[in-house]
Amino acid sequence: MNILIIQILRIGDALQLVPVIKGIKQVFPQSRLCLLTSRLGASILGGQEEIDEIFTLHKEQMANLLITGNKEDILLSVEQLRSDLHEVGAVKWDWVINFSYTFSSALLSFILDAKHRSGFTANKNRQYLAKEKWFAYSLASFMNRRYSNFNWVDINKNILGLPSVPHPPLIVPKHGDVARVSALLQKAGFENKKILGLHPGASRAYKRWPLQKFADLGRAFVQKHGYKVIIFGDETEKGPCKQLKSYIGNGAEDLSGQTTLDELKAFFSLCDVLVTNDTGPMHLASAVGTSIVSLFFSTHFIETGPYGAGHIAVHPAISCFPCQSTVKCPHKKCLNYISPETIETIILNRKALGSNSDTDFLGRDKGMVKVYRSAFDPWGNLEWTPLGKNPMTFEDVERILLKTTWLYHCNVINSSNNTAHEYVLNRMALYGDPADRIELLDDLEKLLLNLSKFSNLLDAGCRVCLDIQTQLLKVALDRPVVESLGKRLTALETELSALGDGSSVSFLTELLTVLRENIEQTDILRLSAETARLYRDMKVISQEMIQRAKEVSALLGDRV
Amino acid sequence: MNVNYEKIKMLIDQCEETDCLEAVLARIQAEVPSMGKDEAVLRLLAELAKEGEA
Repeated sequence: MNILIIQILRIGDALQLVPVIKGIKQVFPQSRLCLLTSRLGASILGGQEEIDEIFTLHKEQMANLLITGNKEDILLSVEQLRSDLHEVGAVKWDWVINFSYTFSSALLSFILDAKHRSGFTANKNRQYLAKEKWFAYSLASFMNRRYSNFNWVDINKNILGLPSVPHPPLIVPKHGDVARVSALLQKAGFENKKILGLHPGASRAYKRWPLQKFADLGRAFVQKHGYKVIIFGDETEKGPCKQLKSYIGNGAEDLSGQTTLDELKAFFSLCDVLVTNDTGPMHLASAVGTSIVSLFFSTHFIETGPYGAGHIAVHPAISCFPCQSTVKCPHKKCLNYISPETIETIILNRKALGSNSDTDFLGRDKGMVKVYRSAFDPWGNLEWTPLGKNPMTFEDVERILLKTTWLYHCNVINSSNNTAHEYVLNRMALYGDPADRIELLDDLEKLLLNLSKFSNLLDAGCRVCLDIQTQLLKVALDRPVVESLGKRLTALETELSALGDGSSVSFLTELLTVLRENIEQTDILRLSAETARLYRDMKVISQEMIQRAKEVSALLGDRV
Repeated sequence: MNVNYEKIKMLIDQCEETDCLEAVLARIQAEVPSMGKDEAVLRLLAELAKEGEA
């Protein structure tokens, strides 16, 4: 079987593919697994033994030619594309998988000859779509980040229907590289010393913890705890890394811009812990199996946190988190919420901290930051456990409800054997009492009311779709009646969208929208049948969520 | 894969508008009811240009 994976995004996205690539090969060991990626992706994933061949798309080179607008340059980019697709286009692919969320990647999936396509693609009707409901789930998450419940690795795993993916360590540094970098460290006086890795860079300013804080943290570990520090960064980050080294002084080595990818893996494997912003190297370190303390400011640790158990994620407790830097922030004050002292305490106590720990470990950051540790849920998805008894918020409850409901909908868990109920109880036990229980119960009541409205509207929509089908099947089509039913359906959809009030119902309305957009637009009869089926499915989802919300409400009421 | 690159190049070459990729695409879309691979290649290039500018 010929399988092709398309991944033309950034380093982190490419690295998050590693568990999925291994998972595919476990299920299809005899398959020929290939990758179509950018030059950067090829350099990152080139050494993966599961990949039989890598095809490179010189997309930056083509983009540079295309943006000039010159006809000659456009013609050159056509030639480049022809050359890039020459070999990959000659293969009859059994399965083309596209995990990139760009129109260009969807078109690539469409252009290549494939028996079966997964992920984002296009069709002859000039429609961009994906058939998998997990893909729709991830797109709905894009619009409602605070309700995200799954890491991208698990979303991709579920898009493909893989039963599981291997957990880190996923990449083993070469013995020779480890020996060489160990010798280098020995020469620098790092022998028998604990090593703290610092990765102060990130692609965007909104993702970077201030350099001075990294410096204070590094200095504390060198002077108070006898650690040595390695500073990591790429060629473009050499300036700040050099500055950081001079702040920390003796006991720190700046390796920015000096390591190959293989050496970086080896250095990461020798670190006791790596403190890093949300970056590609963070994913490399997690694949190697390094213990990570990750700092998240604008992006969401639930989606892109290090994949593996035992890692720590810290984020500012600010209402706009995670903003995704979609708006130009006037203050960027979240970058200063996390103090080096808090990270120092977390590193030293990271194994002992639990959800029942007193939040005093946060010192002066108490109430300003939230800390989580990663683990795998009973179904093999990465999950984050709050550390310190944080008061339960309505958002925490909604996230638990949405995750349970979704897993139920996907037949991962079922109601009959009480698994869903137990899961909700276990998750709720991780939080302290809510700051205002009455307010939380009121919010739950409002949610139940909204969910009931949502469910009723879906029911009405389903009936209208069935009426449309009945009309379409008549020998003599009554056009005015069909038009009137169409108007009624449009009105219902407007009402459904209006229910998106910022709560978790917004997530459901967004999910409905995405799933609806992913119905192939063929003839009206099929379209109305598919829409009716979608409304029925969404009604089941809303009913399940109502049941769980009632249970949570009763549980909170009992706690009074 | 069945892409006619020579035809694509000819269409671009003959185009007299400023934004020739978009212009050729608009013409194809108006003439052909469903998207073929040649059109998808042109669309892909147009998307790569947009992504490059972003």
